[in-house]
Amino acid sequence: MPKSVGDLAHIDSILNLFTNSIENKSPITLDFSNVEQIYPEGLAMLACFFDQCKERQLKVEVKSVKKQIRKHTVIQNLINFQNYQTLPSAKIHNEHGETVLLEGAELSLNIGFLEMMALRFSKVFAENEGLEYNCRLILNELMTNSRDHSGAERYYMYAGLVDSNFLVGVLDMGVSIPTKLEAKYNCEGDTDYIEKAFELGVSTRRTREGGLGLNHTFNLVKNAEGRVSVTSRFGHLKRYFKSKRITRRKTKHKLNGTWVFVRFSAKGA
Amino acid sequence: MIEINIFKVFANDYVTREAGELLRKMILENMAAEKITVIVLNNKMVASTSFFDEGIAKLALTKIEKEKIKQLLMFKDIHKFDVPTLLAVCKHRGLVLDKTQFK
Repeated sequence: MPKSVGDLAHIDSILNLFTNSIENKSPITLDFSNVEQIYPEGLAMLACFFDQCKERQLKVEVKSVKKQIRKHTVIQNLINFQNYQTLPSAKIHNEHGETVLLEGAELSLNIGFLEMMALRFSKVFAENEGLEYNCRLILNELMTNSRDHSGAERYYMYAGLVDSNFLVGVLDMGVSIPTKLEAKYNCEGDTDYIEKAFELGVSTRRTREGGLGLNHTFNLVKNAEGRVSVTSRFGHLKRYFKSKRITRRKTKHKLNGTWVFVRFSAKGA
Repeated sequence: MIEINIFKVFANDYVTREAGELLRKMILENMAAEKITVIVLNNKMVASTSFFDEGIAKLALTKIEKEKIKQLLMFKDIHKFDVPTLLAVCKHRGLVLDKTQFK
């Protein structure tokens, strides 16, 4: 496991867990000896990993977990992995810490999460005008997309404060963006499909036309000079709006799902 | 004049397209009876393009004249951040809301 779980610089090593480990069907040992920190998005990734392993009835063991890491609910669940006979409710990974909220939802929208976020981070929101609204809208759009388009029975959403950044995101292990869009559009690679998804009016629907949500999300993050990162199938796209930097690449390992991570700077955090 | 308090009527769901479609049906029923609909938002955030698009913007796709929509549709206490979201989704459908529609 990398030193910082959830740091998107290590996305390939996390995806490696999902593909090589899961597809090989051999027992998996997660070595946390190097892990100093787990970001909110890392907790959500590990929740997805837990589910994938339990669904495939794999054996998972955990070793060398430092005390400050052990406090996380999903880590406890991984430690006790063998105690779960079948795939438990997505809610077992729920964590309501001082600086991180993580919740799993199944087939429905988790509107209560937004109220919880507003309450938990009221001080940060009070000092950063527009931040709460941006996060609410983005989470509404992302969880709606997971529910309506991914075909996944569950998704994970998080909100958290790390250093001077406020982080939100939604992760699902359903049908990826490229798989959905290639039925309707022709793009060169998976990262192109991800970029396409953010265009106004692009939708996979044949009825009840839409295609507004991701475009609006993109514009909100852009106007707030934040960062948005999307990983789906073999596509990985990161847009840093403050520095105007773009990272577009093919991942080494496939993600059977869509992970969207958003970051805003936050004063007074 | 008929008020629709969004956070009462749509308390459990003021986000999805399905909820927006219900709202649009309610508005259209009122318009058919020549009644003004006042969408009451209590200065709370909706923060959903899907709900606004389905509920309000798609009124532009009906046979009702846009001038009539302006006369028969009002918004009360909309959160300041929802205004640009609502205006943007309406503009995408060709529906231009007037400042007189906002109380």
